[in-house]
Amino acid sequence: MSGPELAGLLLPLGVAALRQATPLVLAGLGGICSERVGIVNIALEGMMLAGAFTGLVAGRLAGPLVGVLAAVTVGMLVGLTHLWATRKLRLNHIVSGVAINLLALHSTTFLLRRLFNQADPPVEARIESMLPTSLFTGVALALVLVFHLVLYYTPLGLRIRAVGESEASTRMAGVDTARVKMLGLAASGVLAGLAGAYLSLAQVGRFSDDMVSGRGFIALAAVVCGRWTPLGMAAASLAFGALDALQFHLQGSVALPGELLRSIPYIATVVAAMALRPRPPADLGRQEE
Amino acid sequence: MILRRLAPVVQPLLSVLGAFVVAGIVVWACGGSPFEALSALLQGSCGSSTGLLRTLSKATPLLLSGLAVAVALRAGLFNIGAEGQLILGALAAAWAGHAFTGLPAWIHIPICLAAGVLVGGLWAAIPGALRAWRGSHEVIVTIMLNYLAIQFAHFLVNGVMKDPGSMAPATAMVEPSARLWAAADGSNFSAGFGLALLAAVGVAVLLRRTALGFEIRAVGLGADAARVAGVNVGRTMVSAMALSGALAGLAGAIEVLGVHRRYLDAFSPGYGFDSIAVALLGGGSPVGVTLSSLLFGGLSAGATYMEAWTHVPRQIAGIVQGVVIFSAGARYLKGRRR
Amino acid sequence: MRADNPPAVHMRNITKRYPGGVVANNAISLTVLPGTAHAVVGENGAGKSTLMGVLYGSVRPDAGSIEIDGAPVTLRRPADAIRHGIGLVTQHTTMIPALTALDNVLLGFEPVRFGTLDRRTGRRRVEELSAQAGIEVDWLASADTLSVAALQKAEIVKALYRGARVLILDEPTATLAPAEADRLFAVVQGIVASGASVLFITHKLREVLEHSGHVTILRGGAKTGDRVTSETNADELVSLMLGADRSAVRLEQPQRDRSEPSDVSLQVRALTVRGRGGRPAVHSADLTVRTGEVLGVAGVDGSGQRELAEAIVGLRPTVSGSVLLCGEDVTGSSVAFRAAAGIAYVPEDRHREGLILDFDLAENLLLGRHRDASAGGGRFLQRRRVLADAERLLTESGVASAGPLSPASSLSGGNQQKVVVARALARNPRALVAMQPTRGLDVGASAAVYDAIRAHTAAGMGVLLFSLDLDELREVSDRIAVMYNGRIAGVLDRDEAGVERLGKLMTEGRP
Repeated sequence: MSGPELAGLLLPLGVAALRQATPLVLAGLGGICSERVGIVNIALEGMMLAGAFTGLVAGRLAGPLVGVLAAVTVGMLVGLTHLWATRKLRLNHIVSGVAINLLALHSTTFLLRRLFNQADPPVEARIESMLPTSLFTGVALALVLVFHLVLYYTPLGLRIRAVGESEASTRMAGVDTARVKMLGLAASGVLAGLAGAYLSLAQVGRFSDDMVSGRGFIALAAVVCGRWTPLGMAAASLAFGALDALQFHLQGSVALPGELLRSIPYIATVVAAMALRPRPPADLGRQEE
Repeated sequence: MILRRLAPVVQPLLSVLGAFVVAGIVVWACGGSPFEALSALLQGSCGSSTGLLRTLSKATPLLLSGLAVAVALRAGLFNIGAEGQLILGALAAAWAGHAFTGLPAWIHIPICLAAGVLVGGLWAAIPGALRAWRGSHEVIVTIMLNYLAIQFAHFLVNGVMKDPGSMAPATAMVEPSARLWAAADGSNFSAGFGLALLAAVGVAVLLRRTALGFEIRAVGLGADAARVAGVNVGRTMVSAMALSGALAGLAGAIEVLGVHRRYLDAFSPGYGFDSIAVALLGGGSPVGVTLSSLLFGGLSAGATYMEAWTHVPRQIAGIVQGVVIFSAGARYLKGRRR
Repeated sequence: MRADNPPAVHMRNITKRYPGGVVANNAISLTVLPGTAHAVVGENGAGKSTLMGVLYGSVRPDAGSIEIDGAPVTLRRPADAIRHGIGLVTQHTTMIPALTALDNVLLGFEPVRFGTLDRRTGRRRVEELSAQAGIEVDWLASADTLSVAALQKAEIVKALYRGARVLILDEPTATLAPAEADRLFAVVQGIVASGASVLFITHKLREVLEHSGHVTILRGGAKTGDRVTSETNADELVSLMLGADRSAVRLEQPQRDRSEPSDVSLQVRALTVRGRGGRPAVHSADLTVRTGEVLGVAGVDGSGQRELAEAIVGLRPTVSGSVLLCGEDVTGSSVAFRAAAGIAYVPEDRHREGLILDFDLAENLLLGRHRDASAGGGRFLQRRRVLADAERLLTESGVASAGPLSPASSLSGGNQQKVVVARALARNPRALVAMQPTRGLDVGASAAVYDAIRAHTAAGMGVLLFSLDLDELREVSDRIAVMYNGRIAGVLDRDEAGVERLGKLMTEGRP
């Protein structure tokens, strides 16, 4: 294969990989924000779904930029709900995450039918004016760098890491840990909401039932594989995105079953959890006494 | 004192009531009539004998997978993977159901059930073993294994296991000798409900009256103390997860042998996820799980009827479930113990 | 005394009740003058730590007021206390293991340059402060690599960095060797000389008499006295701490016939064990516990005691060497096997490792014996037998409880420990490994624990007793082994085990 030919093959593949990785990177940053302050976040999926739905509804009414704004706002509210449930109701973090995911799934499907008066499948709502995906991709990659710098080279980052390791000790050091956690969960919701808005407003231009379809969990997997660091998470997300793009590309052309390619991120995560023994923040999942 | 005694009963009732109120407000806000919707829901779930049987049939997989989640919870483990274990259990039962021919029903049915139990149990033992010996968090692993199971089943029923005579992605029908008795009124009620009740009794005996159950509860409430006292914590975790997966696998097998008579791709509407709500509302106890599975079974049976008659989308039932987890989960499993 | 200056701290009528009705502080007042070292003494449970928690804003009092330098203050959280110049060094470190010592000190009070964390400025300030206080710490090391003593020094600098004018030290010498404790008090004198105040909590009278200017004595949640140290003496302090009626109670060692020890109960041969992070924690340890004997193990906290104990009972794998029970090699066998063979264990942390607080007492007593038919265990549990057995053990060990079905969390600490010990002894073990079995217990409960153990030693059980409390060890042991840096530095007979000799072995590893 000649150079230009190879480039002609790889370039669209690379672009597609970035498109697939963008929501994973955004939601993965959201996962880091939450888990680094000690709150387990399997609710990323629900936050994305809520963001995608709100983004589309608001986007249809007032334009896609307003849609993005609405998506991040709702994402933030869901993030703060997760914090409230785990801290004030003292719910187990997984329980709260499961509840949020169920609520997000069923209320978006419920509202989709109610607001758009549809009953028959395929149930979906569309939007005409879409945003460019490259905008989101650029923002996502820039944020990875920003988060890396914030986490390791600023007072806020030190406090975030400290809270995730031991909230009690951090409070004894004189830090308002409640504020740090609130910031973390608000940011987590904003980023996951943004990832949802990307899906509905930039990537496909419509909302359909359960359209996030597990990307929130894959983002969480990227966080684990990337050992809770922004750079590691981004690398894992890009790898997962590339696999996804490859699977689309190979569809129908090779005897390699799509299911196998789609399975690789899951297998990779199980293997990473097994082989790398990633060390989560020490206080992750702890309920305050 | 009396109030404290009643708390385990009153609290779940209050959370259910609260969830219904929230759902009623949602229906009202969307321009529907909450009372009309509620009456249709009750009519559909227990207004007729068919409705009642449909409630029991919907409750069957919820009861078994709810028990699955509950057993793991008692060992301090979160089995989010009941869905995947249920799917693979169903697939195994469907395979055993049509691969063996010429067997009498009293042999064939147990073989199929055992296939489901075995496959579900083995699949769940993986996250159990990874947690016990590698320290990998079982939540992450079970979530991933769910998707793997879905992809794997999808691959098989669109390929080697696909019934060539069918358009749908499904296996061949199971032999008549592998079919559980089922009511003929379209309620999908089958002998599987009785098996599920038996399983609930079995789990209750296991947890309260056996050394293994004692070890499971000890590990769930105080893994360090259990280890110091000589309990093999790792092995107990694996046993609890395997048991949990076996129950979920049984749920899948019964769905195949009692309702669908074959494995149909994407047949589960998320029983494995609903089971988390069932287990939490039931407080992790077999009696509680049985009651809450009946409630959610009724909700599910009634919601379809309600949608047909009042045009309130049936997803409202899912909203009820979500709210129930929020309010019922608050009293159970505070924080994770490492 | 500069009487015209307001006191550095003035706490008035502080009252704190915990849910469950325990009154930890009952109208306690405390005055600390500037530039003094002020000791707060009392037995465990006297309310010392609660009072200090109130002063640091981590415990909310139900009543009472606090003045700092004459001005009334409200301390809702540690941050408020820090702002008012209060610093706290807790008994257990609050340094976060995953961060460097420097980051731990800067946390919450970070110097900023162009929006970023200015570690260079921070380090310069921290090194200045530590030089002034005569403290040396490797600031760039990750906190989990520092020794207990180094962490404590870093904590002191952390408080000073936050501008502490009143430094609270909660049981600062509990985990230090005598020589390290002396170095610590030298630091304290330096801080006091600079005009700040140090408030230290202790139950060691020697420290009070040697290092404090003033002393406040607490007993059972109430204050029983304030003294100028130079005007009081040990006898007065003891009677104020224990109450006149109880000051006579001591742990009496019964006269025992010192006949020639006969058989070997538990033997450890050239045992090497790895600790946290894979570092060797016990090197080639040799110990022999004879039947009917209490062999005490002394040592600075973290000298490998925990790892040694866990290796003996089977909770931790051994690298090399062997463990023998009555001559039978049990190295490599499981905890359950060794327990059945006759090695009992009383772990250090009774809440986490000893009991399951949400289990009832019958279940807690069954734990570990649940496959044992004589206790009502087995593949299927015999409920009636389990209850009868629990009932018997509770009565025999004098546990004050509402019966075998009451949850373990409902018991007091002393009664909880009696349950742990009763379970360990229920199988009539041939050897007992006990980690600080009386830590945090009052005199009565301690005596009950040792009585129970003695009843079994009389019948031939050998005891390996780990403790950080030299006085306790010298009272109850027949011989005392000293651990230093993971090695057995020496084994002394009870008669030759003076504090000074033990202290030298503990800190230098040589007699």
